[in-house]
Amino acid sequence: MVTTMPVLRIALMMIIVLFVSIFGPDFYWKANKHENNKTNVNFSPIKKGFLFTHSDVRGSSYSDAQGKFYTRDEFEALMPFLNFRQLMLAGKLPQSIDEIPITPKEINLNNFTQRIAPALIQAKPLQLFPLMESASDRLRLELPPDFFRIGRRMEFITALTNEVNEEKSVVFTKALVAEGFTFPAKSIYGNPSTKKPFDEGYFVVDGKDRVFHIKMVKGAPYCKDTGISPDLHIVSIIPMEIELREFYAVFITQNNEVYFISTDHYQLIRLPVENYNHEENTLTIKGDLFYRLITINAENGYHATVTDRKYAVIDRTSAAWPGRETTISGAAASYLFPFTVSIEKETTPYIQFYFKHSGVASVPLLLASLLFSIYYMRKKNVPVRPAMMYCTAVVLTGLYGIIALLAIKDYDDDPAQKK
Amino acid sequence: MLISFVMKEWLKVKWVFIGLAIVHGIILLTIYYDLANIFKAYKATEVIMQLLTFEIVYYINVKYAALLSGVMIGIFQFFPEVNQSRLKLSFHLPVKEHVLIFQMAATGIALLVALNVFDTIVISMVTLKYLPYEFFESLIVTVMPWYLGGICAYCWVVIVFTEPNWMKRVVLLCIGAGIVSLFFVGDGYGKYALSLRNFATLMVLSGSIIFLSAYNFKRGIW
Repeated sequence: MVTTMPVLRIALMMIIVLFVSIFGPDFYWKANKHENNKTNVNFSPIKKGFLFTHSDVRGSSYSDAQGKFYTRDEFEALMPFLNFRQLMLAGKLPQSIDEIPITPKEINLNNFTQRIAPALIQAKPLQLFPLMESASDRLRLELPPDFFRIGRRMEFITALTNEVNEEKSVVFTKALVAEGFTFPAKSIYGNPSTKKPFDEGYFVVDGKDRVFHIKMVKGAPYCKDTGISPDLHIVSIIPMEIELREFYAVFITQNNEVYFISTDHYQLIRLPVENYNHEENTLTIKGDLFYRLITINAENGYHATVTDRKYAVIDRTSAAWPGRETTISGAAASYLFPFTVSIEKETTPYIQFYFKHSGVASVPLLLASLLFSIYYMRKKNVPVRPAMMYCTAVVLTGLYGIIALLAIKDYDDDPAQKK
Repeated sequence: MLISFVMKEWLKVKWVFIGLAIVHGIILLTIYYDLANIFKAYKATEVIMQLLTFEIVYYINVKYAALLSGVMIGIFQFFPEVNQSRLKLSFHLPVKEHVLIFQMAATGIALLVALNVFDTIVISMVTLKYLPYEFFESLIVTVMPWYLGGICAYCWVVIVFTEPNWMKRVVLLCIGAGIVSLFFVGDGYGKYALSLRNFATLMVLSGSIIFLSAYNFKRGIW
């Protein structure tokens, strides 16, 4: 058992290193809180240029791309689509813009915002969904009495009895088979909420990566192969059930391309997105009467593209600001901590050990840690072979390894062993 | 000797185990009645929709039961051993200390597993009675980190008790508390789906430290 003790100590070192690398940097950043830069990008139909809203603990300020600052009233007047209710209240809503008459009803119809965070893309909810009646005669949408799954067939489970509704299941399965659906479904995307203006059902990726549109119309199945190419490798489809009814959904591909699925025979509209990484960035699509504004928000900056209603690029803007790594605390952290581990991450809903390396900045302290560990092992009179194991662990983990080494304290297994 | 040892451990924690089984039973009954009553109070579709939309884990209390069991069995099994110096006597038996401590810890872990299996069977039955199969499917992935966390908590209690040095005990207690807390982070179904193996490895690593503490205890390293 004596011979296995160094291995067990290495195991304990690993646990201590994990403990310190999770809680140490976490505590460090609690004590050195970095103020986040929050900039909201807008495009003014009056000024024909970008306007920015900067928010921090002191409040909000408004500026344009040339650095000119505006008052709140000026900003609201330059953004009539965004602030039309406030402008109406103040009697300042223009009757027309660029000689095009505008009405509050039209503005409201055309305004939309769709935010797609990485966690939304990566989330995998329980694969059980309510299929609402899409052509209901009721004023509001209602939840159906059953939920569906698509495994070897499309199956409806009555919520009250927890039993399969065989009749409905057969009808829908037949409709899917008739349309060429390959079971089981790989992914099902929908917005199972009754708080939306209408229901367009679900977009379902089948066993052969083809996308089907499935909904229930007057109690009967509506299944349609959208014809979207399986080669696009869709990672997520986000339905957009908005009054405008210009598109069914927006989808993201493995290659970070972004498409609208048009309501016009499922035609695809590719959005001019650049510098987007769906695993790390948040994508925001804002629409109004004149423009589409697509913003990619990263931790330390953004890229924004504005297009007209035909998706031709009008203008682009981007900005980057120093992240917390560039502050004094950040520089000190990268020297001190060779890596950090966190088990939660903003960009994913899953718990995992997420490693982040500090790069070469930590090398001096790693080498210093190695020298200290050699000195400490000599002082503790530890035999060469286990000492080498401990020192190797320390040179890989730096300060964390030193803490582990000091916490373990006892290394003398066999006084008779040659040192 | 193995059977005698297991018997000795069982006698030591028998009443704690029975007490914990009752606590688990009460928690499971509460889960059952809460779920049954909510189906009596609201429309079934609305209940299921709420569970799906807000990822409400209706058996969340099992999390606390698993942690409580790990800590309690660990304390009641090892506190008297260390406090009354029984462990020192046991280590003088003609059995290697690692074999002995393994038998003791294995007994404790087996009792925890028994409680976990009991919980899983009951929740599965309740789930399958009221909810579609998908909830049952997500059950194991959801509860597994809690069970692993309970066993990990047990391991750290054993490590802390068998550690002879008081200063190191305090350090190990802090490390143990931090490590165990990692198993109980996050709400919702299957949040550990991508990391169960890593957390199982962490639990096994924690368990292996028991041998180091026992070794230190036997050698009386201060």
